Amino acid sequence: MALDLGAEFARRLLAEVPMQARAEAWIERIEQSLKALPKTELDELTAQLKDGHTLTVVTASPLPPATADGWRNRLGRPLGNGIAIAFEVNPDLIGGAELHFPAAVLRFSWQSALAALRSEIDVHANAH
Amino acid sequence: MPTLTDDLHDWLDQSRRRLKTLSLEPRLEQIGRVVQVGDGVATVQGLPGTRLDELLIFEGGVRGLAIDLGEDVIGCVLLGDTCEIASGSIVRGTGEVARVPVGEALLGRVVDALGLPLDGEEPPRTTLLSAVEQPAPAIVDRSRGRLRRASSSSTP
Repeated sequence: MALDLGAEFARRLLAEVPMQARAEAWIERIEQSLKALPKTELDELTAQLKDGHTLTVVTASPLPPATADGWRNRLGRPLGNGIAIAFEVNPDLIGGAELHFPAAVLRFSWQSALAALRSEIDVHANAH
Repeated sequence: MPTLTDDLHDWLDQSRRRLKTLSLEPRLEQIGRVVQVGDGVATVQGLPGTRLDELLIFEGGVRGLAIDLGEDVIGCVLLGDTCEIASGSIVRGTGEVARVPVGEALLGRVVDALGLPLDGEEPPRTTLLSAVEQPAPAIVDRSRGRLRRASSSSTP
Protein backbone atom coordinates (compact mmCIF):
# COMPACT_ATOMS: atom_id res chain seq x y z
CA MET A 1 0.00 0.00 0.00
CA ALA A 2 2.87 2.36 0.80
CA LEU A 3 4.32 1.66 -2.63
CA ASP A 4 0.96 2.38 -4.31
CA LEU A 5 0.81 5.67 -2.44
CA GLY A 6 4.36 6.44 -3.56
CA ALA A 7 3.32 5.82 -7.17
CA GLU A 8 0.41 8.21 -6.72
CA PHE A 9 2.82 10.87 -5.38
CA ALA A 10 4.98 10.35 -8.47
CA ARG A 11 1.97 10.73 -10.76
CA ARG A 12 0.96 14.02 -9.09
CA LEU A 13 4.47 15.47 -9.19
CA LEU A 14 4.99 14.46 -12.80
CA ALA A 15 1.84 16.32 -13.80
CA GLU A 16 3.63 19.52 -12.71
CA VAL A 17 6.15 19.13 -15.55
CA PRO A 18 4.94 20.51 -18.92
CA MET A 19 3.99 17.78 -21.41
CA GLN A 20 6.40 19.10 -24.03
CA ALA A 21 9.37 18.73 -21.67
CA ARG A 22 8.29 15.25 -20.58
CA ALA A 23 7.77 14.07 -24.15
CA GLU A 24 11.18 15.37 -25.25
CA ALA A 25 12.94 13.62 -22.36
CA TRP A 26 11.19 10.32 -23.10
CA ILE A 27 11.80 10.26 -26.84
CA GLU A 28 15.49 11.06 -26.23
CA ARG A 29 15.74 8.11 -23.87
CA ILE A 30 13.96 5.85 -26.35
CA GLU A 31 16.31 6.93 -29.15
CA GLN A 32 19.37 6.27 -26.98
CA SER A 33 18.08 2.84 -25.98
CA LEU A 34 17.29 1.86 -29.57
CA LYS A 35 20.79 2.94 -30.59
CA ALA A 36 22.27 0.86 -27.78
CA LEU A 37 20.40 -2.31 -28.78
CA PRO A 38 22.53 -5.08 -30.29
CA LYS A 39 22.16 -5.10 -34.08
CA THR A 40 20.55 -8.55 -34.06
CA GLU A 41 17.81 -7.38 -31.69
CA LEU A 42 17.19 -4.18 -33.66
CA ASP A 43 17.02 -6.17 -36.91
CA GLU A 44 14.55 -8.55 -35.29
CA LEU A 45 12.35 -5.65 -34.21
CA THR A 46 12.40 -3.96 -37.60
CA ALA A 47 11.61 -7.30 -39.25
CA GLN A 48 8.47 -7.53 -37.10
CA LEU A 49 7.25 -4.23 -38.56
CA LYS A 50 7.35 -5.41 -42.16
CA ASP A 51 4.23 -6.50 -44.06
CA GLY A 52 2.21 -3.61 -42.67
CA HIS A 53 2.45 -4.57 -39.01
CA THR A 54 2.04 -1.64 -36.65
CA LEU A 55 4.26 -0.33 -33.89
CA THR A 56 2.04 0.93 -31.07
CA VAL A 57 3.45 3.66 -28.87
CA VAL A 58 1.72 3.75 -25.49
CA THR A 59 2.01 6.78 -23.22
CA ALA A 60 0.37 7.69 -19.93
CA SER A 61 -1.28 10.79 -21.38
CA PRO A 62 -2.06 11.74 -24.99
CA LEU A 63 0.75 13.32 -26.98
CA PRO A 64 -0.19 16.57 -28.76
CA PRO A 65 -0.49 15.95 -32.54
CA ALA A 66 2.69 17.88 -33.38
CA THR A 67 4.65 15.94 -30.75
CA ALA A 68 3.27 12.64 -32.05
CA ASP A 69 4.42 13.58 -35.57
CA GLY A 70 7.87 14.36 -34.19
CA TRP A 71 7.99 10.95 -32.46
CA ARG A 72 6.95 9.28 -35.74
CA ASN A 73 9.91 10.83 -37.54
CA ARG A 74 12.39 10.08 -34.78
CA LEU A 75 11.27 6.47 -34.35
CA GLY A 76 11.34 5.99 -38.11
CA ARG A 77 15.10 6.65 -38.23
CA PRO A 78 16.22 3.56 -36.31
CA LEU A 79 13.20 1.37 -37.10
CA GLY A 80 12.64 2.19 -40.77
CA ASN A 81 10.97 5.16 -42.41
CA GLY A 82 7.44 4.53 -43.52
CA ILE A 83 6.57 2.06 -40.75
CA ALA A 84 3.05 2.22 -39.41
CA ILE A 85 2.95 3.82 -35.95
CA ALA A 86 -0.17 4.12 -33.80
CA PHE A 87 -0.49 5.95 -30.49
CA GLU A 88 -2.44 4.73 -27.49
CA VAL A 89 -2.93 5.99 -23.94
CA ASN A 90 -2.68 3.98 -20.72
CA PRO A 91 -2.72 6.13 -17.57
CA ASP A 92 -1.37 3.16 -15.55
CA LEU A 93 2.06 3.78 -17.07
CA ILE A 94 2.34 6.92 -14.84
CA GLY A 95 5.10 8.34 -17.06
CA GLY A 96 7.43 7.34 -19.88
CA ALA A 97 6.29 5.20 -22.76
CA GLU A 98 6.14 1.65 -24.10
CA LEU A 99 6.85 0.48 -27.62
CA HIS A 100 4.64 -2.49 -28.51
CA PHE A 101 5.94 -4.50 -31.44
CA PRO A 102 3.92 -7.46 -32.74
CA ALA A 103 6.05 -9.94 -30.73
CA ALA A 104 7.97 -7.79 -28.26
CA VAL A 105 7.59 -4.87 -25.88
CA LEU A 106 10.19 -2.27 -24.96
CA ARG A 107 9.23 -0.64 -21.69
CA PHE A 108 10.42 2.83 -20.74
CA SER A 109 7.51 3.47 -18.39
CA TRP A 110 7.60 4.49 -14.76
CA GLN A 111 5.12 1.70 -14.08
CA SER A 112 7.67 -0.83 -15.27
CA ALA A 113 10.49 0.82 -13.29
CA LEU A 114 8.34 0.91 -10.15
CA ALA A 115 7.42 -2.76 -10.65
CA ALA A 116 11.13 -3.66 -10.82
CA LEU A 117 11.81 -1.68 -7.64
CA ARG A 118 8.85 -3.30 -5.93
CA SER A 119 9.96 -6.75 -6.98
CA GLU A 120 13.44 -6.10 -5.58
CA ILE A 121 11.97 -4.95 -2.26
CA ASP A 122 9.64 -7.97 -2.13
CA VAL A 123 12.55 -10.35 -2.70
CA HIS A 124 14.44 -8.61 0.10
CA ALA A 125 11.42 -8.68 2.43
CA ASN A 126 10.73 -12.37 1.78
CA ALA A 127 14.36 -13.22 2.48
CA HIS A 128 13.89 -11.97 6.09
CA MET B 1 17.56 -5.67 22.59
CA PRO B 2 16.67 -4.16 19.18
CA THR B 3 13.23 -2.58 18.97
CA LEU B 4 10.79 -2.78 16.09
CA THR B 5 11.90 0.72 15.03
CA ASP B 6 15.54 -0.42 14.94
CA ASP B 7 14.58 -3.39 12.80
CA LEU B 8 12.61 -1.15 10.45
CA HIS B 9 15.52 1.31 10.08
CA ASP B 10 17.84 -1.59 9.42
CA TRP B 11 15.47 -2.97 6.77
CA LEU B 12 15.13 0.47 5.15
CA ASP B 13 18.92 0.91 4.99
CA GLN B 14 19.34 -2.51 3.39
CA SER B 15 16.50 -1.84 0.92
CA ARG B 16 18.03 1.52 -0.09
CA ARG B 17 21.39 -0.15 -0.70
CA ARG B 18 19.78 -2.85 -2.86
CA LEU B 19 17.75 -0.33 -4.87
CA LYS B 20 20.86 1.76 -5.58
CA THR B 21 22.43 -1.15 -7.42
CA LEU B 22 19.28 -2.09 -9.32
CA SER B 23 19.43 -1.26 -13.01
CA LEU B 24 16.32 0.38 -14.43
CA GLU B 25 17.42 0.19 -18.04
CA PRO B 26 14.57 -0.77 -20.36
CA ARG B 27 14.50 -4.43 -21.26
CA LEU B 28 13.24 -6.01 -24.41
CA GLU B 29 10.47 -8.40 -23.47
CA GLN B 30 9.40 -11.02 -25.97
CA ILE B 31 5.64 -11.57 -26.11
CA GLY B 32 3.36 -13.97 -27.86
CA ARG B 33 -0.24 -13.66 -28.90
CA VAL B 34 -3.11 -16.10 -28.65
CA VAL B 35 -4.28 -17.12 -32.11
CA GLN B 36 -6.82 -19.72 -31.00
CA VAL B 37 -8.34 -20.84 -27.72
CA GLY B 38 -10.80 -23.57 -26.80
CA ASP B 39 -11.30 -26.64 -24.61
CA GLY B 40 -8.67 -25.46 -22.15
CA VAL B 41 -5.99 -25.27 -24.80
CA ALA B 42 -4.52 -22.13 -26.37
CA THR B 43 -2.43 -21.81 -29.50
CA VAL B 44 0.15 -19.07 -29.15
CA GLN B 45 2.16 -17.35 -31.86
CA GLY B 46 5.54 -15.82 -31.00
CA LEU B 47 7.82 -16.52 -28.01
CA PRO B 48 10.37 -18.42 -30.09
CA GLY B 49 12.60 -19.17 -27.09
CA THR B 50 9.95 -21.13 -25.19
CA ARG B 51 11.03 -24.46 -23.67
CA LEU B 52 8.95 -27.59 -23.41
CA ASP B 53 6.88 -27.56 -20.17
CA GLU B 54 7.65 -23.87 -19.65
CA LEU B 55 5.11 -21.90 -17.67
CA LEU B 56 3.51 -19.11 -19.72
CA ILE B 57 1.47 -16.24 -18.29
CA PHE B 58 -1.59 -14.97 -20.14
CA GLU B 59 -3.29 -11.61 -19.81
CA GLY B 60 -5.22 -11.54 -16.54
CA GLY B 61 -2.62 -13.73 -14.84
CA VAL B 62 -3.87 -17.14 -16.02
CA ARG B 63 -1.01 -19.59 -16.37
CA GLY B 64 -0.46 -22.23 -18.96
CA LEU B 65 1.93 -25.04 -19.71
CA ALA B 66 3.72 -25.19 -23.08
CA ILE B 67 3.29 -28.78 -24.17
CA ASP B 68 3.62 -28.61 -27.94
CA LEU B 69 6.37 -26.55 -29.60
CA GLY B 70 5.74 -26.09 -33.30
CA GLU B 71 7.77 -24.14 -35.82
CA ASP B 72 5.54 -21.06 -35.57
CA VAL B 73 3.07 -21.76 -32.79
CA ILE B 74 2.98 -23.21 -29.29
CA GLY B 75 0.26 -25.47 -27.93
CA CYS B 76 -0.48 -24.58 -24.34
CA VAL B 77 -2.66 -26.24 -21.70
CA LEU B 78 -4.42 -23.55 -19.66
CA LEU B 79 -4.29 -23.95 -15.89
CA GLY B 80 -6.95 -21.44 -14.87
CA ASP B 81 -10.09 -19.59 -15.86
CA THR B 82 -10.06 -19.14 -19.62
CA CYS B 83 -12.86 -16.53 -19.78
CA GLU B 84 -10.49 -13.57 -20.07
CA ILE B 85 -8.38 -15.16 -22.80
CA ALA B 86 -9.28 -14.29 -26.35
CA SER B 87 -7.65 -14.30 -29.73
CA GLY B 88 -4.98 -11.58 -29.69
CA SER B 89 -4.39 -11.76 -25.91
CA ILE B 90 -0.78 -11.19 -24.91
CA VAL B 91 1.27 -14.08 -23.52
CA ARG B 92 4.59 -13.86 -21.68
CA GLY B 93 7.20 -16.50 -21.07
CA THR B 94 8.61 -17.11 -17.62
CA GLY B 95 11.72 -19.07 -18.60
CA GLU B 96 10.80 -21.56 -15.88
CA VAL B 97 9.55 -25.10 -16.16
CA ALA B 98 6.26 -25.56 -14.28
CA ARG B 99 6.96 -26.68 -10.73
CA VAL B 100 4.66 -27.38 -7.81
CA PRO B 101 5.20 -27.40 -4.06
CA VAL B 102 5.67 -30.89 -2.61
CA GLY B 103 5.84 -32.27 0.92
CA GLU B 104 3.75 -33.25 3.91
CA ALA B 105 2.05 -29.85 4.03
CA LEU B 106 0.09 -30.95 0.95
CA LEU B 107 -1.56 -33.86 2.82
CA GLY B 108 -5.29 -33.23 3.20
CA ARG B 109 -5.18 -30.08 1.10
CA VAL B 110 -7.11 -29.30 -2.09
CA VAL B 111 -4.92 -27.46 -4.57
CA ASP B 112 -4.94 -26.60 -8.26
CA ALA B 113 -2.53 -27.86 -10.88
CA LEU B 114 0.15 -25.44 -9.67
CA GLY B 115 -0.29 -26.12 -5.96
CA LEU B 116 -2.36 -23.01 -5.23
CA PRO B 117 -5.06 -23.60 -2.59
CA LEU B 118 -8.65 -24.28 -3.65
CA ASP B 119 -9.88 -25.01 -0.13
CA GLY B 120 -9.86 -21.45 1.16
CA GLU B 121 -6.85 -22.08 3.39
CA GLU B 122 -3.40 -20.47 3.29
CA PRO B 123 -0.97 -21.69 0.59
CA PRO B 124 0.75 -24.90 1.74
CA ARG B 125 4.03 -24.09 3.52
CA THR B 126 6.56 -26.24 1.77
CA THR B 127 10.27 -25.87 1.20
CA LEU B 128 10.54 -28.06 -1.89
CA LEU B 129 9.33 -27.54 -5.44
CA SER B 130 9.22 -30.32 -7.97
CA ALA B 131 8.85 -30.17 -11.76
CA VAL B 132 5.34 -31.10 -12.92
CA GLU B 133 6.66 -33.28 -15.72
CA GLN B 134 9.32 -35.79 -14.79
CA PRO B 135 9.95 -39.52 -15.15
CA ALA B 136 7.73 -41.67 -12.94
CA PRO B 137 9.50 -43.54 -10.11
CA ALA B 138 10.66 -47.03 -11.03
CA ILE B 139 8.25 -49.84 -10.18
CA VAL B 140 10.73 -51.26 -7.66
CA ASP B 141 10.92 -47.92 -5.84
CA ARG B 142 7.14 -47.66 -5.75
CA SER B 143 6.84 -51.16 -4.30
CA ARG B 144 9.38 -50.31 -1.62
CA GLY B 145 7.41 -47.23 -0.64
CA ARG B 146 4.19 -49.23 -0.43
CA LEU B 147 5.88 -51.91 1.70
CA ARG B 148 7.33 -49.24 3.99
CA ARG B 149 3.92 -47.64 4.49
CA ALA B 150 2.29 -51.03 5.04
CA SER B 151 4.87 -52.05 7.65
CA SER B 152 4.66 -48.71 9.48
CA SER B 153 0.84 -48.83 9.57
CA SER B 154 0.89 -52.37 11.02
CA THR B 155 3.35 -51.41 13.77
CA PRO B 156 1.51 -51.09 17.09
